Formats: sequence, structure tokens, C-alpha cells
Amino acid sequence: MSSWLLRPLSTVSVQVRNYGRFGRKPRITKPRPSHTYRALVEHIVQPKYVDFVKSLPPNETCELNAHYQSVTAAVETNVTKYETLLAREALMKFQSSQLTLIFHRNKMEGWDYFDASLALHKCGIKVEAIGKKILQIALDGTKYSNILPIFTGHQLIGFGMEKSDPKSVKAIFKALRRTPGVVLMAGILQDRIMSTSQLKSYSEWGNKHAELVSTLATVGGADLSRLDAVKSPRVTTQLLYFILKIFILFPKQAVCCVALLDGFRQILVACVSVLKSQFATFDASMFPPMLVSVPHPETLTTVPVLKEVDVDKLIVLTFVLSMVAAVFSLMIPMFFGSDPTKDDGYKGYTKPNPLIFCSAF
Amino acid sequence: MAEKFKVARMFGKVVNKVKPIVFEGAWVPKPTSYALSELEAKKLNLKPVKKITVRFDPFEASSTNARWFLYLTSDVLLRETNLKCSFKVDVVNDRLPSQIGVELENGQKLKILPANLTPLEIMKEINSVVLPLVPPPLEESKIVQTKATKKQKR
Repeated sequence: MSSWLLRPLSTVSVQVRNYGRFGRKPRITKPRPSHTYRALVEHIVQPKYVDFVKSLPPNETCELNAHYQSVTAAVETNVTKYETLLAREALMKFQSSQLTLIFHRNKMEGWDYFDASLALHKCGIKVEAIGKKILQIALDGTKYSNILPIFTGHQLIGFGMEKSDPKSVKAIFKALRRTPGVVLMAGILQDRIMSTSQLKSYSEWGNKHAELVSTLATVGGADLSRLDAVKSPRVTTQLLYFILKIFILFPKQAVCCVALLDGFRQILVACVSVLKSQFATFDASMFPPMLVSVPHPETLTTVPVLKEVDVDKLIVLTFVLSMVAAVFSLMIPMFFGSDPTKDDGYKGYTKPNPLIFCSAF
Repeated sequence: MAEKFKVARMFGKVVNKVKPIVFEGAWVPKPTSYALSELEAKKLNLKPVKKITVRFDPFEASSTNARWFLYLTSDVLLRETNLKCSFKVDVVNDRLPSQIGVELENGQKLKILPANLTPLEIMKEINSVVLPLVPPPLEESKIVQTKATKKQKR
């Protein structure tokens, strides 16, 4: 009996706490159904949380109703601090990158995604998966707001901080051929939204630009100086003299021909000089902007789509123009030379008599 | 928790009838057409399909459904049903509605305009055309009895 009195009291209270009044373990997973009155009270006392939006009457839940739209907008746009932080970082990346590419992401496994991101990393593009809600917060109200309609889900964004020249873009297209899980949709280059076809022509422009500049410099450019030097009243009088000999019966028509030829020559000079100045510096600005403002997809207005620059046709056109200009520039001094009545400073050189040429005709 | 309670007095005794529980568990929201289209895509078999082309303009409204269809058909398990089936993706800039083209082995062609269709309807249409043409699975070949198996039997 003395041992029972001396036992510690903590053991007694623990035993009572664990097994309750009747000394049994309580059944937690399968509790005993409670008494009827206790169950009734528990059922009545349970709180009912009513959804405010669903409790509205049907005339207010109409989607065209402004009140319903304002209520739903307030409930859905619950922006947290973390989301604003992520949005700020995303906007900084957009502003600091020279080339941003927007991809569609297909269903692919982890190692396929790693291979795709590694291939693009080798081309200087860092791929990130940013959600549409964060992009909406980041780009709304900025100059990048026109690209928001693309972000409907399953998108990847590639930021190229260093390189944006045509060679690097060509390397990107080569890498994308082996990654079917990633589909290029659009890109931003020098504050311009570019489609895939425009980016592809930009990547192929590198070689064609060199061709164009060489044609302008060698063929057209060399004869430009001749055409400019030949711009003198002596030439027009000599032309008139030559044409009058032939069309002596129609002097008025002859004068018109002279004016036409002179005008055509001036037009040629202007065209070639304009082309030369335009394509001297290779820039994305030579591409027409895709769209200055993209309308909301729900609007029904048609948006004009600008045609892309056809590089091959431009080269052919400049070549033809320059050849025609060269022919004209060669014709005029060949047949008329200089006026024999005026002294040009030539000494010890017998000038050809232009009358001989005229008599031949 | 029972919904209704009946308390009856019979011969001075209280008889309590508790009805069975009708619903128990968490309340899950109704699945969207995107989730249901995923379930439909799992049923799809690409054996009778020769080629699938998807053409969309990313700045156009109907491109979301086309892109979702691309996402579903890029599943590895689905593509393993027919490795010869080719997929072509055209990203254009013409502001025209998107198109999905399915070319079958027997020469049939199916053209779907996903502008006014939900993803579930698109998958159901394709399943209704493609699934009846799927050939039945081959029977397991008979096991060849070798000398070792015959010895074991003895």
C-alpha cells in the first residue's frame, strides 16, 4: 500500500487522458454516429458561406450588365505583392533585351524542354516560362501592350540580351528545327513586333544586303557621277541639233523628245540615289512595322496587313535601272562629245567633227 | 451527416430513423471543356491518320483553340500510336481564322475551323471520324514450345 501511495501522479493523469472515462481508445477514422438531438444541433449550427456573385438575381448576372462586370472584375483581379514583384522583373527583362522571341510550348517532357532551352542558350537566348497574369500586370499600359493578345497560355519567352544581328537569328531558326515542342510565333526587334516570316527574311537579309550594296556601288554608283557631270545646257543643245537633223520636218516633236529624255535621265538619277541612301544602313527599320496598334481580338474591324519587302525583286530592279542609266550616260558623250566651237582646253588633240556623225545618219 | 430526421412514438418508445448519407466528400467544381477535351484526347488513336496540319495566326482570337489542340496532340503516348503520322504547324500573319486539317490513310480529309467550337467539340468530332477506322489489336502469338519447357512438364 505504501508503494501505491508513493507512485508518481503524472502516470495516473496520462492514463486517464489517453483512454478517457471508459479506458478505451477513441475511434478517429470511423466515429460513432452522434445522438439525434446532438446531430440536429450540429447540423443547424454549421455556417453557410454564400457566394455573393452566385446569390445575385439573373438580371444582374447578365454578362452585358456593367454592375456584374465591375463586381467580377474586382473579385478576379486580386494582385499580390509577389505578383507585382515578378511583373516588375519581367518588364525589366523586356526593356533590357535586344531580341525577344515568343514561343508556343507543346506538351513535352522535362529532358526535351532542357534540350530545347540548351539549344537556344547556345544561340544567346534565355528561355523563361512567365504566366499570362503576370505578363498582363507587367505590360499593360506600356509600349509592349500591343503584344498581349498572344499570351493566352502555354507560352515561353526568350530574351536575347546581347545579339540581334541576322546571323544569330539564322542560328536560332536552325536550332528550332530540332525542337518540335517549341513553336516560334512572334518576336520583338528594335521596338517592332515581327512575325515569323519577317524574322526569317531578316535572317536571310545579311547576304542579300551585301549583294545590293555592291550592285549599287559598282554599276549604278559609278555611272551616277557621269550622269551628274553631264547635266549641262550644252548637252541639250547638241541633242536638239542631232534630233533636228533627223526630224527636220517635225521640230516641235523633237523638242518634246528632248524634254522627255532629259526628264527620264533626271528620274533615273533620283531613283538610284534614293535607293542607295535607303539601303546604305541595314536596319530593322527598313521592314515595315507589323502593326502600330493591335486591336482587341473581340473587335470586328479589319486591320491592314502590310506586305513584306521582297528583296530579290529590289535587287533586280536596281540592277535594271542602273544598266539603263549607264546606257544613257554612255550614249550622250559618245555621240556628241564636246562643242567644237568652244575651247575646252585640249591642245594637240584633233576633235572629231560632229557633222560627220550627223551626215552618216 | 443525415439530412432528414424522423422521430416516431410507437407504444411509448422513441424510434429514430436516420436516412442514409446522400453525398460525402469535398465539393469539386464542374470540369471545364479543356479538362474534358484532355480526357477525349486520351481515347484518340492516330493509326488511321496520315497527316495533321495546324494553321493559325497568333494575333487572332481563334488561335487559342488551335494552340490547345496542338498542345493535346503533342503528347508522347499519343504520337507513339503512329510514328509515321506527320505534324505540320503554319504560323501566319494574315488575320484569317485558324484551320485544323486531318488527312487519313484512306484518302479522307477532315477540315475543322476552331473559331466557333469548344476544345471538347473539336476532339469529339475527330474521335467520331478516326476511332471507327482504328484496326483491332492483334492476338497474342502462340508460345513456341521448346525442349526445356517440354522437359519441365515431364
